[in-house]
Amino acid sequence: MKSFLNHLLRAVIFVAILLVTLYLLSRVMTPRTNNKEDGMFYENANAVFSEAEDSIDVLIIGDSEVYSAMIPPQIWEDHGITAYCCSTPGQNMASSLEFLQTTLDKQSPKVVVMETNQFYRKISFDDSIMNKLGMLLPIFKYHDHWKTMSWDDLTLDDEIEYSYSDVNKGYKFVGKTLAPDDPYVDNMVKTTEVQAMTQRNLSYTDSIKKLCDSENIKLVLVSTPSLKNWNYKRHNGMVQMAEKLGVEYIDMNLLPDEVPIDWSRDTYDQGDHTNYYGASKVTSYLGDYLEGLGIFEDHRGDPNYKSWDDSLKAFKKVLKKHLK
Amino acid sequence: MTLESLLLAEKGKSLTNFFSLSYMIVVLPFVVFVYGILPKKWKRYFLLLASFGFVWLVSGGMLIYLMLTIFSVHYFGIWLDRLQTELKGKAGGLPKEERKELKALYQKRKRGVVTLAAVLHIGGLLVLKYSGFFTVNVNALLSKLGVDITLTIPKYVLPIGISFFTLQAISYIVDVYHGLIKADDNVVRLGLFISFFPQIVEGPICRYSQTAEQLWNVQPIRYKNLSFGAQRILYGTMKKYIIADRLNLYVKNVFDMKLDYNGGAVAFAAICYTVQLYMDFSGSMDAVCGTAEIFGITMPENFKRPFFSRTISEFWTRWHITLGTWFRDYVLYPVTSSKRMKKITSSARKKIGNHYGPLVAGSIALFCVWSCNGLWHGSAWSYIFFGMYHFVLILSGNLIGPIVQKVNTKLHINPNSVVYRGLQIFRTIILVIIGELFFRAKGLKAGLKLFKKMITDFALPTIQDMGIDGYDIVLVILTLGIILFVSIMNEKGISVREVLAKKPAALRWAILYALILFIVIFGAYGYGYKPVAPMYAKF
Repeated sequence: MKSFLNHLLRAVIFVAILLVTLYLLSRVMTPRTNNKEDGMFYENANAVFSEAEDSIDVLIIGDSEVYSAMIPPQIWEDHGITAYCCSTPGQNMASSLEFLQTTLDKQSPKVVVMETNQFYRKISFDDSIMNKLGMLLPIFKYHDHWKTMSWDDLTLDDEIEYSYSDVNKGYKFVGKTLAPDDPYVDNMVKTTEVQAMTQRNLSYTDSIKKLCDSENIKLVLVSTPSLKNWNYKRHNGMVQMAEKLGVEYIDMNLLPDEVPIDWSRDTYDQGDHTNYYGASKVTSYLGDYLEGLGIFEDHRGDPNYKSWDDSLKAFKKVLKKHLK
Repeated sequence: MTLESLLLAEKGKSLTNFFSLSYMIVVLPFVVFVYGILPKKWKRYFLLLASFGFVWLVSGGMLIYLMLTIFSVHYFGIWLDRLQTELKGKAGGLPKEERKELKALYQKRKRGVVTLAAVLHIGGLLVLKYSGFFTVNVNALLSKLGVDITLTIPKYVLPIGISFFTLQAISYIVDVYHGLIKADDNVVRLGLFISFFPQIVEGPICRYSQTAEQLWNVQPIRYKNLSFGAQRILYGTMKKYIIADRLNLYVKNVFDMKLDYNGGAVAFAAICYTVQLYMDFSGSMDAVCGTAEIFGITMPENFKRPFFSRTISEFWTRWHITLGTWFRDYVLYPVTSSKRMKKITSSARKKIGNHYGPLVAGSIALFCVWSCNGLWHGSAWSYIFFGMYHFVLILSGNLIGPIVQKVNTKLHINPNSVVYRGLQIFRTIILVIIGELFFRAKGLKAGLKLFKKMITDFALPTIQDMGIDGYDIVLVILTLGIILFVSIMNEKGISVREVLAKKPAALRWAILYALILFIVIFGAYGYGYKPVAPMYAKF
């Protein structure tokens, strides 16, 4: 028994020292700024933390469908509403919850738009644990940062200086077109079948809803047009989900008049993600919807939001250059 | 976060990777903890339950296949045993001639039983694993012959570990048949031997005499075992996460032929793949043996520094050892010792001498072994080619061996000199890498295309478009240096773990911390990396 306790004590001390070391190394490995060169990944989505405090009206959260389809500068130009795309490639619900939690430390959006493709992305047990570990001990998240570190970075200061801001507010401009094979396969053939979500994603959905409720945020579910990612079974699943949560659900795949996607022109990867032409249609509808809610102030002309005008100018420049 | 995905069948697929968090921080600690607190008499039953639970988590209802295998070989074993007992009972007191006749009769019966068992188990494996490949080729043949018939290509889901536990089951039956072991009347012990969870995914392919008794005579969890086992798992994790999974990015790019890589890039990818495969498989074996060690069980080793081999024959005695010895004992020996082969050998001896004479039968047996070895890895022509490639290399070695010896003597070359040995090792490594290029390529055609590219379009590869950068390469080389150091120590018969265990605690802890942090910081996981499934689990 004495020997067992001795070994147990040693094991506890070993683990404690390891945890302290990992904590200290986490401080060292955390990027100093939110620039890509400093080890920050998904710098455009993470640039949401560079935005002025309480300046974002709408957070749009999801995977690549979001940053391909929602253009915050356009919403600003048309409606004076500030929106930001917190979206990364293959983003799952665990990351979305993390994005929402961390963004709410600095922002008080009135609406959170969740793109629905992520609800059907499976999250493995390992992904889930790794996500938690990364939040508790950032070394698990930023461990590859060693490649871009300099000697000056070897400090215990774990404050990230959010110096990089994205003029596109999380939107990724793609101007090229790659049409699906003609005739394209209709993804929205009506059916009564329902595609179920995994238990884990249901659990994350509940957490997101609870968080929104506690912060008095309106949650809206939106499916962006996609021939490859969306279908009627998933639509039915989201209808049920929206009913259960008591939130609004907009499926743009079923709004051919309001969001008139031309599949021969409006996507850049054969019907999966919208290009700029498709995105402007999606954004136009979303902007009108948001304004129609009647809960947003028009910030245009407000000197506190001058940076949004500057961003719009920069975005238009990029647009002009690419659309030449 | 819920444990839902772990608690439902087939949702624990990531458990096939012994380096997954679900295995390392949930399943393994849970099993070790429960095993540790249970009274001794329950431990063995719990291990069997844990093994079935593991298979069920990974492949759900396919567990039934494993259970059927256990019950089947248990029955066949007892059948063989009964025949043996029956013979003894009947033979007692019989005249010599009659006894001989009776023995022959029972030998025939026993052979019938063992054949039936082999047909059932190997047949099951053949149907599940190869019927698709067989049908595709029959269809191609029919089409070439102008016959307008297309057979439906069957698709079966393979139970996890079928290629491994079927071979264990067969070895048990054959060993009982040969009288090397006694048939086990205890189905729990036999079940534990066949299904022990660490070995089920990628082996090693154990023999009944190696692990059955150890598993039955369970040990308590001892500090030394726990510590040594954990250290070995950590060492395997380093191999997998820092080398194998990091190289995967580049290897995948080249072998998927995403870009028109030059011959140098292909050659570099073949080297990287060989390293990746070794690190992945031997790393997994470290995790398997480390896990078993925690429970006080010594598993047979699957690797013995294969890249120190001087010939291809030697390489295969050091690489995937338990598969090699299985083929040696259950294919090579039975073929060479068959009456027909013995006849061929004796007549060949007379005609072509004592060296080349036995080689005739030996080569036929070798051909059988390498056909099986190639096919065991998968149902594709590229695997058959891989088997034939090694068959030809070993056969060539056997044929030119005496000539090389004569030349060495004539030229006064010392075959044991460092330079000669070094050149032999270098040659063996090159030959292995070429073989692995075909093994990894997506089909035989792709393999030939890549090989041609390597020969005809050779240029030094550039770092661009590789999927890995200079830092990755330096890191891999550094880690390989550590592994080389440990391998040299092991080759000299020095156990690094035993040496370290005698050092002061501060030094031991410092080394352990360094290893853990090395993996945490430099491991290929998280952002930018996709988890790579264990490479041998698919075989």
